[in-house]
Formats: sequence, structure tokens, C-alpha cells
Amino acid sequence: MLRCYRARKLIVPYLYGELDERARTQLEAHLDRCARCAAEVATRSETLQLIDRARQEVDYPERFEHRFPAMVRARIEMDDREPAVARPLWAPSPVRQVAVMFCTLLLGVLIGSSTMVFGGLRSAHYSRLVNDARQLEAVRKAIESERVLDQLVALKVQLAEEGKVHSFAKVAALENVLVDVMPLSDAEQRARYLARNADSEVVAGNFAEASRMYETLLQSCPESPLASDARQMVAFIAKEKLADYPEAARQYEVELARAEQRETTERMERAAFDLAETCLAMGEYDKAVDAYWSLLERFPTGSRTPAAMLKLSDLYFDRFRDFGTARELYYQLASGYGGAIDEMGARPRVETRLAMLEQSARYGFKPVEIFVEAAGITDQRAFGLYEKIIHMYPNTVVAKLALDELCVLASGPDLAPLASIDALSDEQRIDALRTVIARCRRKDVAAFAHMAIGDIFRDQIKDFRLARREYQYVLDRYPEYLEASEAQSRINKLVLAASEEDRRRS
Amino acid sequence: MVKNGESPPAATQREDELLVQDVLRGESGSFDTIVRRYQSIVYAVSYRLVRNREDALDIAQEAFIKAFRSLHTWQPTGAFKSWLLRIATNMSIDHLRRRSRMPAFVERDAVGQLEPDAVDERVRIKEPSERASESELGSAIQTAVDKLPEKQRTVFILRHYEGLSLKEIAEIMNCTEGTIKTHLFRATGKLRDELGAVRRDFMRG
Repeated sequence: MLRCYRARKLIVPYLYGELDERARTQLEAHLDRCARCAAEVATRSETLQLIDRARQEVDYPERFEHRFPAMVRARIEMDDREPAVARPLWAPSPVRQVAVMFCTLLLGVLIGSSTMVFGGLRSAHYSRLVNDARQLEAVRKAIESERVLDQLVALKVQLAEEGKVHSFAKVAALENVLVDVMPLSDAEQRARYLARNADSEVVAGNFAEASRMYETLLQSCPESPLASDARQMVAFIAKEKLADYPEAARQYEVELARAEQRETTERMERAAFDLAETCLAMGEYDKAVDAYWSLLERFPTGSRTPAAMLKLSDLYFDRFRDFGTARELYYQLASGYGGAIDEMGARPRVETRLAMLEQSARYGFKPVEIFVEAAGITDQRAFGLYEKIIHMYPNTVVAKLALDELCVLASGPDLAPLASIDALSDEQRIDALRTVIARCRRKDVAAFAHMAIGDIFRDQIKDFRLARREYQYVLDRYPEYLEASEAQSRINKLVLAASEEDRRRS
Repeated sequence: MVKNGESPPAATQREDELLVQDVLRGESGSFDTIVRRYQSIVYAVSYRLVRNREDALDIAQEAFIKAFRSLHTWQPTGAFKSWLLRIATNMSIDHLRRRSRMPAFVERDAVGQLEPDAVDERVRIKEPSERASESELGSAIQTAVDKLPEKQRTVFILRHYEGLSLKEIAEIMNCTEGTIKTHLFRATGKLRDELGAVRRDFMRG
């Protein structure tokens, strides 16, 4: 016989079907006799049914199944903080700089607290501690201020732009540490949670989801120092990963306005530049030009000046065909920003274009104009235009470039629209030049191409016999053209060099 | 009515052991398998406890990371799933305690974040005539569950919503099955009392 006290212990397992057969029979027998226990079971059972009726399903994030393992993996890697490339200890690294600041902060906190604990110690010792603490307090304030977060934000956006996911993860981890030690309001605490999740989505490559999370952060915590970071990331993802340019432009405009309000130059400049870049990507060239100019006017010595200037020059050259302005800008770039154009890998382009423009200025930039026009098309008409340049402006930089383009066109339809002359080996280039000779309608173009073949034999392959044969051909075949006299002088130089070589040997 | 909670079969336990050994040997890919195996339940438990998608996602991640870091301390005497869920449960509870110290935070979460979504979801499914009463029921239940003391609430969520067995819950909460039964008995009693009026209405309807 089961008593009420025992029966009650069985009610929960009974309700959840976890009783064995014997216990269940015993309990049911008891319930038949005991109205109170039966009511206990009935009311609880009804309650559970009621709760099931309004059961709320778990709200899983989108594509949780697939994304989650990647997020965890990314977070584990993020915490590992192993340098991707071994860096010498003395090498300056932005991450290291912030890490040093962070250590200083900890030291500051430690010394600060020891000052309080040992406040009653000897006065000299005490005042030294207070002095140290004051200095460290200044450092701490600097870290607390938006400045440090700004630097981190800039760094993160830059790393994301460069696709350096590992370093991005490290900076994000560092940012987490920094934000952790700062005194935070509730809103910022919340922002931190959101930012951390969004960052790990970036590391895991889930950009749409990351963007959504950054936007949640923006909406729920617009005043947080992380909001600027989030806006930059939303804009960056919209521009680079989702090709949603209008959204990117909108975000950069807001960022620019906010930076202007707070007068943070670095952020203002960055937002202005990114806005210009987005306009360019959208194909809104007029807007882009305005944006780049406004950047140059407002931040003439800023870190993005050379990049903006380069974009402007290219726009004037390729898009607007305003060669006078392009010449001026390329000239300023080449003369004042040598280091920057090297860094951007733009020196060959800047120098070639500048040379073209300088030389063709006296023809009212006509050859360059034809050149740019030809560059915009790839069919037989382009071939004719390049020939025209070589014919009308012989022995100029533009003529040489036109011959290069003819080679690219001649080396086949697959290559033509994409590749530059640099993609061709010496042999391929000679083959291409022979095709140009076969296809071209002007004798002077053919002579010019033969000369170019001779130059390749002479300068690249170092086969002087073949070089001489090529020059000789020009001399014999095209005696009435300018190239013939040039060929003669090159043959003479080769003969002279050969006899000197013989004399030296004997 | 209620999912039938069963202890993980011996085979699953054995597989978990092998996977953990692989991870400890340095095959981090095996940890992916572990994550895939338990991500749903870990997230679900965290979500049920903190009732906020972002926080639950954060906690679920943190739980796996913590498990990864302290994998060497896991003893195969208990189920791996229980060990993992203990980490997630403790983290969720810690989170709730922290949150309870921030009044503004709780308010926004409870009102602004969770409820509208949950209510909207039901409104889309149900008939218009049912709308008001069903959503009232939902929030009444949520309030009643929220009012339960921490341990009773956790046990109730693990058993009732996630269908874990009493034995598993005992492992997770690090106590005896008897204690779990007591918590559950009290929890169901309190819920019954709290929801008495609503229950009678619905039983009549």
C-alpha cells in the first residue's frame, strides 16, 4: 500500500513517463483511492498541457546549422592569437602598440591600487607612487577616450579591406580586452556582445549575417564608441562583399556627418575617401570626382591624398579625357609622392601616362586622345587607330605604347581584351609583332615593328646576329622611311661593339 | 505532450570519448564534429534560459570554447553531453545574474527584444479571434516561468522544453535525481498555482 508521502515522490516521474511498470501500477492504484493526490496529478498535468499549448519554439539564427561551427572555430583561432607571420620583436606593429598600451593600463591599475593600500607609507615613497599613478592615469584616460578605439576601428576596417582575417581576429580580440577593462554603461555592454558576435561572423566569412548584427548594434546603441566601427563595417561589407553601393554610400555619408560633428579628422578623412570610392564603384563618376576633390581640399596633407589624387588623375585620363588636368595631377604625383605611388604599385602607370601626356601636349593631346579611344574598343577599328598613331606620331612614347597594344591585339582574341604587354614572353612578343607586320596596312608600322623585334633580340635575348639581321631587313626593305636611318645607326653600334669585344679577347 | 528524455546510448558516449581523445591528440577537426553534434541543444538551452538570440549565440560559442580549453579535465564517467550542458547552463545563469544587476538592460531585453517577435510569430499562425487570448497565454506562461527560483526554472526548462531525462539533469546540475524531482515537483506546483485562473479558462474553453 502506497502512502501519500511516497506517492507524491512518484508524481513528477509519472507525469514525464519515467516510472517503471511496477511503480506506475502502484501509483495509479493509490490515485484511484486518494482524491487529493489524484487532484495533484490532474492539475499539474493540465498545467503542463497548457504550457505546451503556447510553447514558443527556439529562435535559431539564420543558417545556424552551417554557420555555428565556423563561428566557434573562428573564435578559437581568434583567442589563440598566434602571429601568422613571424615578426621580429623590434618591428613596429600596430597591434603591438596597442598591446603595450594595454599592459600599461594594467600596470596603472595595479600601481593605482597599491597607492591606496600603502597610502600610509613613508612620504617619499608615497609621492613617487602618486606621481607614477598620475602619469598612468593619463594613459588610462587616453585609452578610455574614443581615440584608442578609433585607432583600433581604423585598423580593423583596414585589415578587413586587405582580407587579413587573422590579423582582424587579433585586433578584434584586443578590442574586446580593451572594452572589457573600460568602465562601461549597460548600452555599451550590450554593444560589446553584438560587436563580438558580428566580428566572429566576419572571421567566419558570413558577411550578410555580420552586417545584420552590426546594424542591430547601430540601432540599439548608436552612441557607443563601437557604433562607428559598426557603421564602417556595414559600409565596407555592403561595398566589398555584397556590392550594395547605395547602402555603402548612405553609411559613409552618415559616418562623415558624425565625424564632422565630433571633429575627428582621421575618421572624417577616411569616411570622405570611402564615400568617393563607393561613388566610383557605383559608376557615379561626377559625384566621385567631387568627393575626391573635396577630400583634397579639406585634407591636403592627409594620408589618403596620394590615393585620391591617383584616382582623380585616372578618372580625368580614362573617363573624362581631360588630359590637361590629368597631366597636372600625374605630374604632382610623380614629383611629390614618389613613395606613395610605389606603395600603390602605380609608378609604371603614372610615369608612362605622364610621359605620353608631356610629349603629346604640343599636339593638343591628340595622340593620347586616339590612344584612349582605341583602348575602349577591341575590334579591327582599334587596330586601325593604333596604326594611325604610329603613322602620325612616329618615335613618340604614344607610338611605342600603340605598338604594344597592337601586339596584345595580335596575340589572340582570348588575350586581347584583358592582358597587357607584360603578360607576353619575349618569344610570344616577337610572334605577336610578326602577326602585326602581316596584318598592318602601313609600311611605316611594319618597319617600326621590325625595329622592335630587333630591339628584343638585342636587349632581351642578347642574340646580336639576329638583331642585326632584323635591322638590316628594315634598311633594305624600307629605305625611304625614318626607321631606315635609325636601323643603320643601330647596326653600326652593334658592329662597333662586336669589334671591341674581339679586340678585348685577343 | 512531452518529449521523452532518454540517457545518451552507450554508443554515443563511446563516440564522444573517441572524438575527445582525437581533439586532445591535436586533431582539431574532430572538435567540429562535436560542435555539430551538440550545437542545437547547447544553443536551445542557452536560449530558453536567457531568452535573447544574440546573448544565447554568444553563450553557446563561449560554452564550446570553454569546453575546448578544458577538454582535458572531462572525465568519461559522466556523459559528455551533460558536461557540456553544465558549462552552458552555468554560463547562462551567470549571464542572467549579471543582467539582473543592470535594470535598464533587462527591461529592454524583456520588452523590446523578445516579446514582439514571439508574439508576432503566433499572430501569423493563429486565427484572429484567438490572437489576444493566445498571446496573453504565452506571456502569462513566460511570466510564471520567469518567476520560478533559478534552480527550479533551470530544471523545468531542461526537462519540459528540452526533454532531458532526470538522470541527465542530475548530472548537469551536479546533484542527485531526488533533488531534481523535488525541484520539478515544486516548479510544477508553482506554475499550476500561478497559472490557475488561465488554466481554468482554457480548460473550460
